[in-house]
Amino acid sequence: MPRPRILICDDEEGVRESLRLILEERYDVDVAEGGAEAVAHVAQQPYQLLFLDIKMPQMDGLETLKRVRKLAPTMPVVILTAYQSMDIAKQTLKLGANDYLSKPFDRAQILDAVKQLLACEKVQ
Amino acid sequence: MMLHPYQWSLSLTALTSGALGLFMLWQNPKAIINVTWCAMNVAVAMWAIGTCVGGFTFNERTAILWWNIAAYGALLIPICYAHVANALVGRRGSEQWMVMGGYLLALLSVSSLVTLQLPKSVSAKSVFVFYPDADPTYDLFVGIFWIYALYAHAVLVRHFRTQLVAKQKQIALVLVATLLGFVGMTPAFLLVHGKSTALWTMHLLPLYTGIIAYAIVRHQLMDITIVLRKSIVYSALVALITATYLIFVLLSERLLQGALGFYGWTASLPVAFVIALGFIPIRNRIQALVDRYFFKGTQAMLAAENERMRQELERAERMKRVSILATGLAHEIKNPLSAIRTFVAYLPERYHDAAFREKFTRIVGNEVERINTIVQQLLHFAKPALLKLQPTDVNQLLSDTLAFLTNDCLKRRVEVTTDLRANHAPIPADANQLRQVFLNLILNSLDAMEHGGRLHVTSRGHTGHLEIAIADNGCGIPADQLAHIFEPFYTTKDTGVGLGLAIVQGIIERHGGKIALTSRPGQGTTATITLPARAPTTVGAGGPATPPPATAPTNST
Repeated sequence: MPRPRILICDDEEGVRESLRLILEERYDVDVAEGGAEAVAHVAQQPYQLLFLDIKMPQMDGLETLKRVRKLAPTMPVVILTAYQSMDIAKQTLKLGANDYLSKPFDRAQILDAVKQLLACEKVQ
Repeated sequence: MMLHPYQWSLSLTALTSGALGLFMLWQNPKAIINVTWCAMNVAVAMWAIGTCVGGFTFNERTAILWWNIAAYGALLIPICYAHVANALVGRRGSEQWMVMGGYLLALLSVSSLVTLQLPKSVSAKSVFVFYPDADPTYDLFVGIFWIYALYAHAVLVRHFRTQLVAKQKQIALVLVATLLGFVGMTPAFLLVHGKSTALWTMHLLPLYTGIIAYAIVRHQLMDITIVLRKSIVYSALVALITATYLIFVLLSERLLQGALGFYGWTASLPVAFVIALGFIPIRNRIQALVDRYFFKGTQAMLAAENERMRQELERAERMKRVSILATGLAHEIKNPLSAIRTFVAYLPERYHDAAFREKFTRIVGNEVERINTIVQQLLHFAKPALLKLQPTDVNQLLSDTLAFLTNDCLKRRVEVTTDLRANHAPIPADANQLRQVFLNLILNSLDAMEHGGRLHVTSRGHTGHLEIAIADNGCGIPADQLAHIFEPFYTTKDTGVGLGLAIVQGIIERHGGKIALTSRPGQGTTATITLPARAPTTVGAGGPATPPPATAPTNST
């Protein structure tokens, strides 16, 4: 059975590499340094999950989310935010994000979120 | 006819209370406090006069009529007092349901009093020739009286803490005055049941008016200060002039008429002349005296109150700044913390993995350095270095900074033009800190011109100050973002932590200067700095620059 494929989109190397470190044991991981790159990845191949940062240069997380949703309407998306802001969280959920995590995250939080969302996707 | 001592107290209360109430209404019929207070005082007058006449009249029928007036007045007193209390602490609208209910009750009672006859009968009690007899309806009225009196007191006490100091003094005086009034009235109710205890407390009633009058004069209980001040001044003036005139005329009549055969009116002419000459100085003197003895405390109190409010505002502003700083700081540090936390968590199990160790060293090292930079900048912002003022050639400093950035400008395809016409002698400035200002502003401009553009730097000398403008034709800043641009941790750029402009503003302000940013989206931004040609009066590290009023940063990750 092929391993689920996860895309990480964050302009900060530290965050990208941290998520890769947590996820690569169990999942196939691709990384994108910005919104445009993430959209290109999603257009090329299907992903079972996307971790998406909000504040990014050029194309921000909200714009990326809109574009990605057109390509992959059912792909679970987890938003990463550096401080808890209910307003932004609500906004992203309205735009079709499935969950949001605030930084700094830890291994268990990330793995739990992935597990839950992948399980949901299977049920669907 | 000799008046009984109780009649003296009651009629004095009725007269002073009624007169003061009507006077206050006349002074300001639009102020709710004046209207309600007048209504309350008229009610007090009704009760006092009803008791005064009803208690000592000659026939029973008249006594019953006057005692009915007294009963109605007594019912209205606490209801109006509750209204006064609400007006005094600023309760309005739906909070007034208790008062409105009271007025409705009073309205219904008018017909009841006529039909029920309250009291129905009177008899001789204690010193009174006629006094109401005990009756369940009368007791009900007394019950309502106390419910409203306690409610009004509770309103004043409950809102006491939240009021300003000046208002607290007013409330305290109203509480004392009304408490005395109610204590003075209590034996009157008890006597209905034949208990003639402490009837002497009725003599406390005139004190009620006295204390309220004191509160009006000394603590501006109601809004009549100017009228009152003028009234006191001119009353005193008229009294003084009349007395002087009379004394002179009388003396002159006696002395001059006896000795020289003059008539009084001849002597009064020079006296009137002297008075006319002295009118203005005497009035000013009296006004100064009145201000000193009646209003000095009040003005000092208002000044203290203003000072307290200013300090509260400053504290609130400081707290807001701290909140903006804390939010920005948390935002900037959480990103590197995510990486550090994850890599440290994996360290024990991946320690022997060379690739992991390489990544750990690079990423954790970078992130730690990033946090260090943020903290350094924050420290610089919060506790800036002392200014070392030296005669500085600002034109030279601008040219040097531009020369330093030549490569960056070339790389970004930015054309630089200068028009440095500030012909001032060197101004007192900290060259290093000023260089940082120019560097930050020019780098911001370069960042705004991603696809090339034009940077125009000018300087102009004016009398007493120097003006420097750094203008670009870059992407510009939308108006909503411009309002927050000097706030710490606020950034419109993809890189940087948003402390640059906050630091720039701090440096300029410590030089005694000003900085303003104007911008049009799509057309460019101009930063205009004004620096004084003379050293600022206070030179020091100072605190962080004051950001304009703003909410938390709107950028987010």
